[in-house]
Amino acid sequence: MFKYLLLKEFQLIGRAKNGLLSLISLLMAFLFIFHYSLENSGKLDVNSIVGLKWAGIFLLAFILISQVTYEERESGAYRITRLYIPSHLEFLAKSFVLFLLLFFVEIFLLLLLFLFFENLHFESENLFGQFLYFIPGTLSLSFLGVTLSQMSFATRLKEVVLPILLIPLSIPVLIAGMEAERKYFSKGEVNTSSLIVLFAFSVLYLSLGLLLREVGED
Amino acid sequence: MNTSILSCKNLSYTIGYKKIFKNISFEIFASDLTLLTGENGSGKTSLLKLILQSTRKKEFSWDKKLLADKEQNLISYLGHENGLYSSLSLRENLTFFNGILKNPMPEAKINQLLEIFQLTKRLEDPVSTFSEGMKKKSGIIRALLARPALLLLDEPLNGLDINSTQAFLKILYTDFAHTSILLVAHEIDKISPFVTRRLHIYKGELNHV
Repeated sequence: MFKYLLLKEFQLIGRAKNGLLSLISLLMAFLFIFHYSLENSGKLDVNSIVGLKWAGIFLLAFILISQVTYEERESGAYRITRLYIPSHLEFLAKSFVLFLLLFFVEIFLLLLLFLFFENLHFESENLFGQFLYFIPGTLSLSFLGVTLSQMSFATRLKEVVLPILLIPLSIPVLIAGMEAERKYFSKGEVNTSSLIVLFAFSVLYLSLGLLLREVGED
Repeated sequence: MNTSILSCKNLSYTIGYKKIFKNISFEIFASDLTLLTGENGSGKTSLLKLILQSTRKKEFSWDKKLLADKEQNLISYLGHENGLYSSLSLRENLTFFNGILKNPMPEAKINQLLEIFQLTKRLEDPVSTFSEGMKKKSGIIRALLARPALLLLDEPLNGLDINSTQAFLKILYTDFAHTSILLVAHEIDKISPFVTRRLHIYKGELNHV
């Protein structure tokens, strides 16, 4: 059953090629504007680049979450799927696929950051620092996004719910992620407490999604 | 006398301030084709959607044997939306919806339904490229895959041509003769030869006609 669920999620993403292409174009334009307006007048320091990266991650998560849940809502297929599949499996499959998708687009984001900004050196230590925190951060955003999108099915506000709740609930994750990376790049050591905070957010939003799945029912 | 597979007692339902049902009670019997009628906005679709949640609602009680049967899908539903992923092809949709069922329909039977509804040649096309009638026929096949204990059909004849309507009714009358069906339709003359019971919603009350 889970196999068919995952296959369907990947097929839906596969059909959204145009959307993904638009997303990559948006990402390139976003970073190019920063590169042209700031990098040319004085090199951006690592802290600013970290902030830029998390801004990019939020933007990607926001657009992708809206995109992957659109068809479920519009076609009524979500209601049918729920008849045969336990809602927690549906939640986990969608979160997993969203996480994978975000992860791959974020690798592209990282490559662009290395390309556009000189103070970010393409070194193994740097790469480790970049991946270490954005993995739990992305996991949190995936769980949160799918939770909110399932809630939006059941409300009269529909997709308005997503930005209204996604923005305030993402901010703690973004702040924790940025602070953790700043500490890593300034001191050069892994801050365990920051990592725990980010994973705690993942667990919190996973639990929230599992507990609130009944809200997503009609 | 057929046995009851689902009974509903004292169900009330409101949307905002509007009261849709006031303490309605009814039963669905095995192998019956029950026609649900009522004016536009009387709550027919709402009632079907409430039945979709019947396993979680205290007002409903299912036949215990059906609930315990590990091979039997309880409900299938065709609503105003066809419940298909429009960017996926018909084959991908059917593979997915058949794959998540307790007792999937054999491929030969699916192919037979596709032949009857003349959709075989469009199997690889995205559902979004289909006409309204074709989407409806695809939705019907999707709903039939489950071979459920209770088949809920909300205006399934809308958008179907004469041949497809006849083919669909024939399938219901032959292959699904032992399935309980609750059907909402305004084309009463087309359905009436097959109907065994009729329920009518009027001003929040459900009458057995």
